[in-house]
Parts: sequence; C-alpha cells; structure tokens
Amino acid sequence: MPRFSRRRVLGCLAAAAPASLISHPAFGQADGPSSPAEIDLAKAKAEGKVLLYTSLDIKIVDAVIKPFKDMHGIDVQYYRGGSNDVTSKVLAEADAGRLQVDMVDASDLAAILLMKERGLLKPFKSQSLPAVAANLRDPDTMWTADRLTQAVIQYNTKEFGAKPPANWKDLTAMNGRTVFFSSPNGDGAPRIYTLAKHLGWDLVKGLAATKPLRVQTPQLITQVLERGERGAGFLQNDNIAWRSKLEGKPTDYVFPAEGVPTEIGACGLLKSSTRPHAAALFYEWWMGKEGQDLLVAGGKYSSRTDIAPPTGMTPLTKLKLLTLDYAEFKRDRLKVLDQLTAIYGGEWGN
Amino acid sequence: MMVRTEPAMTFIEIRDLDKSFGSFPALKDINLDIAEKEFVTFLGPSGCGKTTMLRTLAGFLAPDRGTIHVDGRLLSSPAAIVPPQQRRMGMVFQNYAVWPHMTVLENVAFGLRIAKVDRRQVRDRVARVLEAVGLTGLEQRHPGQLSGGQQQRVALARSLVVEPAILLLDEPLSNLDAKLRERMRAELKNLQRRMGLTFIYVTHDQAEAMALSDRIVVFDRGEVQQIGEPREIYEHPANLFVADFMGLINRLPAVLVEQADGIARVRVGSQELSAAIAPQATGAAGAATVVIRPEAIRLAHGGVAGENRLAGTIVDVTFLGNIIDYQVDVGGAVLRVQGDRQTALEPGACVALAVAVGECIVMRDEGADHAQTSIDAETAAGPSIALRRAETS
Amino acid sequence: MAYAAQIAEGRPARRFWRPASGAQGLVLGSAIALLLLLVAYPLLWLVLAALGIPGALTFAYLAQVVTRTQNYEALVNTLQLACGTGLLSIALGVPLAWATARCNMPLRRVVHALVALSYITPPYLTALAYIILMGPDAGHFNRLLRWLLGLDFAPFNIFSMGGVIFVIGIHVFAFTYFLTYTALQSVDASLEESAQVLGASRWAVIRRINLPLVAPAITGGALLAAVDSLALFGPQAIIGTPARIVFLPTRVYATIGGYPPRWSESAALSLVLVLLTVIGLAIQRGYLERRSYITIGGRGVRTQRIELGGWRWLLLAFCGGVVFFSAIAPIGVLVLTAVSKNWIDPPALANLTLAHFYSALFTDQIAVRGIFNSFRLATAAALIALLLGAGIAYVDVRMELRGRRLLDYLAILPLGLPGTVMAVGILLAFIRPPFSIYGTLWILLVAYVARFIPLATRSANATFRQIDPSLEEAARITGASWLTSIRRILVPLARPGLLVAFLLVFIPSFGELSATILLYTGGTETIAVAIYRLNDLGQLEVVSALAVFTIGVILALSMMVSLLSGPGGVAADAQAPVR
Repeated sequence: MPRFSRRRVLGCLAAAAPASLISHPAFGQADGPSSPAEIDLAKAKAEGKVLLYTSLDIKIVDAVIKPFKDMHGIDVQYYRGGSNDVTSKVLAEADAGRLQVDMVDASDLAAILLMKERGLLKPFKSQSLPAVAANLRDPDTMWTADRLTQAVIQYNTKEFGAKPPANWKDLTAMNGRTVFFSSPNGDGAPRIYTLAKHLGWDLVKGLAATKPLRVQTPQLITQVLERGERGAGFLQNDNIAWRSKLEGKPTDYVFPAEGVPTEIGACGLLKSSTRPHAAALFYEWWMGKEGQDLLVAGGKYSSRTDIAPPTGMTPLTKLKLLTLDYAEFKRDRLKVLDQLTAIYGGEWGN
Repeated sequence: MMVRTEPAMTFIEIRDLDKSFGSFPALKDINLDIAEKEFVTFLGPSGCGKTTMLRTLAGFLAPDRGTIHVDGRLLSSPAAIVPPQQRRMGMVFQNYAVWPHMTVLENVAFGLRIAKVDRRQVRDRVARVLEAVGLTGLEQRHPGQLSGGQQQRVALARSLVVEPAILLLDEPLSNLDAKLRERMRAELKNLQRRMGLTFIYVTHDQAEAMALSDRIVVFDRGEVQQIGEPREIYEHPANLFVADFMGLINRLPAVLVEQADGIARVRVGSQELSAAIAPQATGAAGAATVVIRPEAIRLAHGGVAGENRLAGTIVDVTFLGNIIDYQVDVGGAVLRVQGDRQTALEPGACVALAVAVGECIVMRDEGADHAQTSIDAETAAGPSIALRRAETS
Repeated sequence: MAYAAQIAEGRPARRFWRPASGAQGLVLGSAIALLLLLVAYPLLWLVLAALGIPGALTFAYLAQVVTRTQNYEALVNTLQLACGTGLLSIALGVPLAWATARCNMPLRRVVHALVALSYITPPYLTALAYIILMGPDAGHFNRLLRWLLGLDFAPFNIFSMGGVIFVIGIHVFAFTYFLTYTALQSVDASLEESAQVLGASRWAVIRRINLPLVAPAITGGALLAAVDSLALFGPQAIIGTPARIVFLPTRVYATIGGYPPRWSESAALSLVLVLLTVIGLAIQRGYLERRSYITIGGRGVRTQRIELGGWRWLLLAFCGGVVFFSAIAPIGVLVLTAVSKNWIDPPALANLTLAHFYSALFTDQIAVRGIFNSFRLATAAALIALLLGAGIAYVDVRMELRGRRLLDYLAILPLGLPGTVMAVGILLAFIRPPFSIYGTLWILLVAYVARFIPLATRSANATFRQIDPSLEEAARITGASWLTSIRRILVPLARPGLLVAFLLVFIPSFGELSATILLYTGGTETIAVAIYRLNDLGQLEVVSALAVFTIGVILALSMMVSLLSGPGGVAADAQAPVR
C-alpha cells in the first residue's frame, strides 16, 4: 500500500526524532586542575556537585561527605556497590561514552590499575602524596591508596567466647559453623587468594570443608554472627568487626598471628569528568587529614603514615601482613576465580 | 436480468459497485437509482450484502469498484471517498447506538454542537425534533433509564435534528417486540412522508419491507435480484429466490411441454398446467420449476375459463386458527393449499383445485438448494467476517 | 440542488480515507515505531551479541552455554527449579482450587483472597522473609520447632535447592490455582449428575469426570508456574547465592556485573532462557489449549457444591496451612521486623518502634531516592504503556489493517520474556549510539514499558471490545471527525478499563527487580534495588520497613483494580496472572 507507507514513514520519523535527542555522549574536557594549587573554588562551587562511585561502607562515606558539604555547599552524590560493581559500572559507562562519575574509590587495587590501563584516570598531584608510602601510590599520580583493609576472624562471643579462635587453622575444626563473604561478581576473591598464596591452598580447602555459609557482603557476615546463625566468620573486614563490637553486639574479632591478608583500597579522578574543580576539591578533602581522620573514626586504617590506627586496633607494623601482587592478580584473575569456584562452588563471576 | 423501474429524478446513483472482504465478495456489480423522497428498502437474508451496501452508502466502507453519486456529486469511488461526517446523511443503527454516558438531550444535540450551531438554536431544534418523535420531557434521562422503543426514538431524533437529506436505517425495528414494531413502523412511514426525506431501510422481514417501501431492492449473495414496487415483486417475482423470500410458495418440478405467446404448458407429475413465464426463465427448455402461492389455489367445484384445474387427494390437515392448511397430493407432487375455517375437509378426501394461469409462474430450475448455498458462502468467508456484525447482513 | 450545495461547502472529497487518514496514520506509525524500538531492537541486539557481534561472527558463546561448567550447572539447576515448582504448584494449587471452587468449606473467599495476596507480594520480599523465618539456626520457625520438639538440629534449611523451590513455589502456585479454579467452575453440574445417575460414587465422579475435564487447565497452570519460576531473579539470588546454587538469571547477572562485562556470554545465556520459556509457553498454548474440553466462561453453567461434612475442617486446615505459609507468614514477619527495635529479640511491646519507617521514608538516602524513583518511573511507564497499548488495541479491534497480526505478536511478545533477558537486550541496544541512554532513568523507563506493555494492550483490547463500534460510527455520521469521536465517545466509555490498564502496568513496574538490577546506576535506584542493596549491607530493619511499604502500595492499588473490574467488570479476563 504505497500511499499508506508514506504516512507510516512519517510516523516512524516522528517517533525517532525525540529519541535521538537523548543520546548525547558525556565527553568531558581534558582541562581541569592537575594540582591543588590549580583548583578554582569559584568554579568548583559553580559546578555544584560531585558524583562518586565507592565501595566504602556508606556510614563512613556519609560521615566524610557531610562536613565537606557543609563547608563548601557542594553536593556529593554517590553510588555504593562492591568494588566489582563499581568497576563494571565504570567500564560499562566508559564503553557507552557516558561516563558521568567524577571520582572512583574501590577496595580492589587491581580494578583501579585496570582503569588506569584503559586511560580513564587523570594525573593529580595531591597534597597528600608525601604522607603516603611510595608503594601505595601511582608513580604517575593517577591513583592513591586511601585505606587498608585487613581480613580478620570475627566470632560470636556467645558461642565461642570461652574458647575464641586464634588462627585460621582453628576455624577448620568448626564444621558447619563458619561464614564468609564473596559476591557473585567476584568481590572477596583477592583476600582468599592472598591466604592461599601465603599459607597454602590446603588451608583454603580446609576452610571450604567446614561448609561455610556464603553471604554477599562483609556486613552480612556480622548480621549472621549477631543472629547466631553461624559462630565464626573468616576474612571479615576489620572495620566492620570493630564497629560491631563497639556497638555492643555479641561479637568479637582477632588478627590471626599466622598472618593477616591486607587489601589496598585506592581512589582516583576520572579524566572525562565534567566537574574537574569540584571533584579535585573533594579528592583533596578525602585524602586530606580531616577526611582520613573521619575514615579512621569509622574503623578504617588510613594509608597516610601520619595518621594513627582506629581506637583499640593494633598498629599495622605490629601485624603480620600478607600482601597481594596486584599486577599479577590483575593478570590471573579469571584463573583464580575458576579455582575458587572449584573449591567453594557457587557463582564467582568468572 | 433485473427488473428496473427508472424513477423520475435520480438522487442517489450507484453504478457498477463491487465490495469484497478479503476473498469474500460481499457486493457484486450493484446498479441502483433512488429518487428523492423515496422510501427504498434493501431486503434479503443475512449475509446477502444489504448492510454492506448501506454502510458503503454511509461512507464507512470504500468500494473496490464503481461509484456512488448523490445529487450529481461523487461521494464514493475506489480512489477517494467523502468521509461519513461530511456526507449529510443520518443513520439509525440496529442497536440504536445511543451513547450511555450522555443524557437524551446531549445525545440529540451532539450533531448540532459539532457543527457549532449556537445555543439557542440548538435548544429550539432539539425541542422540536423531540416533540416530533414523542420524547418531550425525557431530556435529562440517561439511555439506561429508557425502554428499547424510547432509545430507538432517541437515535432517530439524533439523526433527524441535523436535517440530513438521506436517512439510513439498519434494521431499526428488529430488537423490538411485535406490537411495538408495528406501531413504530407506522410512525416511521409517517415521519418520512411528513419530512420529505429519502429513507433507505434495511431489513430481512419481507412483511415490513412491503408495508413501508415505495420500492424494494431484493439482495441475495451480494447481487441485486429484483427492484420494484412491493406488489410487483410479490406477484411477479423475477426468480425462484425472490419468490420464496417474499412469501409462502409451492415449488413444483415440472417439464416444459410447449410455450407460446408468453404462456407455457407444463407437465407436473401426471397433470398439465398453463403458466406464465418469469422473465428470467425465457428460453428455458426441458426441466423447470413452477411456483404457485398457496393462497392463490382455490378448493373449488366447477371452474372458470382461464384457470388451471387439478385433482388431488388431501394428505394432511393442520388447523392454524384463522385458516386451515392442507397438503394435497396431485399425483407426483404435494401442494400446500389454504382454506377457510368453515370448509373443514378430512385427510383422504378427494378435492378439485383451481388456480389462475397468471398465478402459476414457470421458472428456471435453480438446481442445488438455494438456502444451503448461501450458508456455505458465509462459512467460506471465515470467522473474521462473522465477528463484524455490520458486515454480515 | 440543495444536497449538492451542502456537500460543496468548502469540503473537498478527502483523498483516500482508508484506515489511514492523517491523524490515524500518525498514531499508527508512532505506535509501530515505538514498539519496534522498545521490543524488536533490543531482541535483535540480543541475538547479534550472542553470535559475537560486534566482533567476529561466532557460535563459540552459544557453545559455551553447555561447555563451561558454571553455565551448564546453572542450566541444570534452572531446569530442576522449573520442574520442582511446577509440581509443587499442582500439589498446592489443585486441592485449594477444588476446595474453594467446589466444596462447602468455610472461609472460601478468605482463602481465595489470600492466594491472590501471595501472588501480588513481590517474590524477593517473600524470599527475604523466609531467610528470617527459616534460616537454619536462627530462623524463627526453626527455633520454635527446636524448642517445641527438643530437637538439636534444624528441621528447615532455607539455603538449599528445596528452599528455593519452596519460596518460589508458594509464589507461582497461584497460576495453577486460578486456572484450575476457573476450569472447575466451568464444569456444568449436568455432566456430573449424569454420571451419578449411572451409579458413580462421589470419588468416582471426581476421578473420572472432573479431573480429566480440568486436567488441561492444571497442566497449563503448572507450565505457566514453571516458566515464571525460571525468570524470578530475586529469590534465586537472595536464597540461591548463600546456598551456592547458581541459576541462569543469576549467572547472567554475574557475567555482566563482573569486570570486564562479558556481553556475548550473557546474551547467549539469555537466549537459552528465552528458549526454555518459549518451549514451555508453546506447549501450554498449542498442545493443551487444543485439548481443552471446557469453554471458560460459557454461559449458563450451573455447578454443584459438594457437601463434605466433617472433612471440610480438615480441608480448611490444609488450605489454611498453605495460605499461612504463602502469604500470612512472610508478610507478618516483615511487618514484625519493621516495627521491632531489635529484630533478634522476641516480640514485645517495649520492642516496638516506628523509627525504621521514618528512616526508610525520610532519611536513608538510598531508600528515599528509591521510593521517589519508583513512583516516578511507574507513573511514566504506565502512562506511556497505556497510550501505546490503547493505540495497538485500537488497531486490533477497530481497523482492518494488513500486518495487524504482526503488531499483535510484537506487543504480546514481552509477556513471555524474563525480565533478565529483556534487560540484557535493552542494555546491549541502548548502551551504544544512536540511542545511548545507559546510566539514565530513561533506560529503566524503556525496560518497564517494554516488559509490561502486553498488560496494557490486553486490558485496553478487552475494554474496546466491549464498546460497540456503532457508538463511534453514530458520532461519525452525525458529523464528528475521527479524533472527536475517539475523544467524546470512546475514551469516556473506556475510562474504567483504561484506568485498570494503567494500574496493571504501574503495579509491576513499582516493584520490578530482575531487569532493574541490571540497568540501574548511581542515582537511579528504585525501591526494589534499594531493598536488595540495603539487604546486602545488612540493614534488615530499613529493608523490612521498605518491604512493608512496597507491599502496602501494591495491595492498595490491586484492590482498586479488583474494584474497578469487579463482577462484570471490563478487565476481568485481562488479569490472568502474568509476570
């Protein structure tokens, strides 16, 4: 029906027109401050907001954001997910040419390294650089470690208070009473791998043999232990175990003398950010003394050498820290996930 | 093939009209002329195409071939049609289609409001037309509060208030009970005469058609079978279908013996008759059908010139109240004869029958059962057609 | 002459008024274009991505579905789940349907309503509730039973395949229930009476007359239940993940959520999911419907109610048990948790608080944002779906257009697709030019409209069918244009049905999880995402408050739908359970 199809074409065009208006890729400018001196406060205020993707506990994030907001009047919106969530969102948005995020913070350094490799990060000579050890920051100043998370044993005091576990090996005897976390897209894998590399895969397999309950986040480990659903959790975040005890819940935690896997969390600014001044201002706040103090107040160990550990926590120098070669992990990630799938079962995002 | 009476001034002119739904031909080669102020009825069984013709006139359907002119103006053709809202026609639907969410007043005033007639005029005209149909005082009621007959009059009023030149009516009385139907029939005829409108009326009821129409157009299977005045169609049906549709008939298989001067001599069973020849039967030889209306046959002793005489035996008697129905075996065929209440004959009695030559009509043998064929046609068109109420009529 | 003069008044014969006059053509064209964009375009990308595009064309990803252990296991688990829930739905649905449709069991209406309640409660909320109730050690039921019976082991472990089947089963059994219920009510008493006259006992009648007659409905319901269970990401993730059981939807979620996102593999998995769904629905439609011996909704059906005597109390106990577990217990425990200061402690008056509701509705950033976004999105989606659906329904009911069938199929297609699948397709289609709307609310809007347009179309279709076309034709011939007759006649008469269509899209959009979880980003969280994420963070109190709020909104709107489409209502047959 030739006459009709003319109208149909018109109709299709009419419908398509507004849709195409929607797709405006958010390409940012390559300008913006590359050091604190270049931050223009007026421009920052004009930009008005900062969008942050973070894997940090939201209670701590809220605490860090509030004074910044009060001081500068700049709003900080954030998306909080596991570090894999954060990474995949950033990568997906980069693929779409729709990067909206200004600053990213993830507890998986390998992910940050990947972002640098993809050219998404921007060099920025933060004032905090001298306070951070050389191995905890990027030589090209594209990222800086902002926190260190240690994996501890957390246990329910009602069940194990009399005879608390002191080492990872002690847990291998607690058949059916253990819990650990790993998300379907692979969060939690680095620390298990660290344990395996330093203390052997047999230990990891032994822990799996206790048929642990597997939850999706470290916060849920605490919930499970508080409820009494399980008795002991391995590879829990130190700050979460610390807070739970502080709040008077029936839990306690211990840094095993065998060795404590440590994770480096890092943050960086995005090159494509359309709000470079506000983002840099917030970055400075986050990495500065006040911001890091707030992090510590929430139970995190700061990466800055000039800040004390959280109240009641052992200084890092006194712990046997087990570290991960992040470059190697970045390379072997999928193989590691396959191994963990074979041992623990379930979904690891591989 | 068709009997046509040409009216004085052709108002509506339908030429060579075809309409099909998919592969189903609903209308074939329709040619009609309708005069102004005429009351014309489209008559036929369901599926014959009469409602399709009406809806094509209304502009809801576009013809596949042919044209419709009204007053010399082209309204419909395959390439272009004037949409319904611009045709200045009115239409009364079988189910009245009175809008349930509007009052009687709003229903009737709708067309005037669309035409942006000013308020005072609207009031006046609505009041006048409501009086004409006898609904004064019911303006604020909703259709749900009205009887069937009242709703039908609302539909009528609504169509008339915009002063259309032509009013189309699609079986408007079929949902009413018998008494009301008769009364409304008279009112409609009255209305049409008084207002001087052209009415085109669709029905399957031949009695209604004969009572109302100036002329009847008989449809069957998408084709016009006959056009003419009621009496003409009843007494001189063009073919077997028309004869059967317009009233009771006796159908007798017969053999044509000879024909001369428009009178045929046929053999029915063992007896012989003289009969008039239907126009369509001209030239037929051999097998034929003779059609005789039951009321034309007299139970008689003695005879009159110009009448056929038959002898027979009564086979069955049925008392119908005002008349008695007889089945009479005339040797090789059974005739249905009607007699009055007083002459009560018994089965087995021998009787003499008389029927005028003009009342016997010889027609071409149509072969297969007609009714069956039209049912087949409807089923072949598929359920999608059956679902469309409007198209199967 | 007078007539010709009237017609000649400046109105020329319009060119080609077929069902495509100016306004009609625009409506039709836009509807088709929008439908193609929202449904066909994402599906196209799904197929392309599964074959490796962009990149080299390859079947490797499709092969990976069975060659990689994780994928294969996910497939097997998913099939197990479907079978399990199908069977469970028969075990629960058939006795209940028989009890409410045919017996003189007391409280029939209550049971019927509670089954409906179990269906409209979002299944991920039921899953959350059951973790609280049946967690192997601290779950309320387990603790209760251990205390009552002195056991030293937990009788119920929700973190198992059985647990997943149970939680999903008590949600989807509604399909079997409602279909069996309707079928049982359509069996005319004369069919049974003629058997009784010939000497059959009550049981024999049930066995030889009723069951065979309703068997197609039962099997059909079970198939729908099984197909629906395939798609329920929420319970599969919430209960399956701690149990370390992987299903196809959770596998799709993981392949996209990990880095780098593995588009082609997830597309291939999605296609498998579609295949399973299509097979299930094809069997249900083609094979079973042809064997249906009863006309549903046949007029003049008279049914006998079976007098059960004392047995009816036993039956009531069974039915009560089922609806307790499927509706009362989960909603109850969520309400309890939402109002408890400390949900671990036993319920006591001193332990009650409304603080969690306050924080969920006003203070928690993610929760508040979620509520706001959900309302916004659901309203917008329902409006767009209504307009689009009404347009498509109008084409189907009023116009005789070639290609109308294709439009129908395209509009109904999303009904059979799991939310996860639609989300992957939409992600693939709209993450790239020319319509790159990823990272905005628009992509969620697209997902909701695409998923739920069949609901609006069916409802609008049923509504328009009930309005005789002669009503609009009468307006046309009285002088109204096509648009005017739509505006003044069709819309006012169709209003109740169109409102139902709006609500039928609003309600599922409000609580949608399986597609949203793949498409959301910072700032575009919805209520379901907020619940899911906050639950991950262990904030069970706020989660329960949000859950109760969600159930409340959904319940209120569902009751509105039920009122509008009550006995003889316009949307009664458009409300067959659907996801």
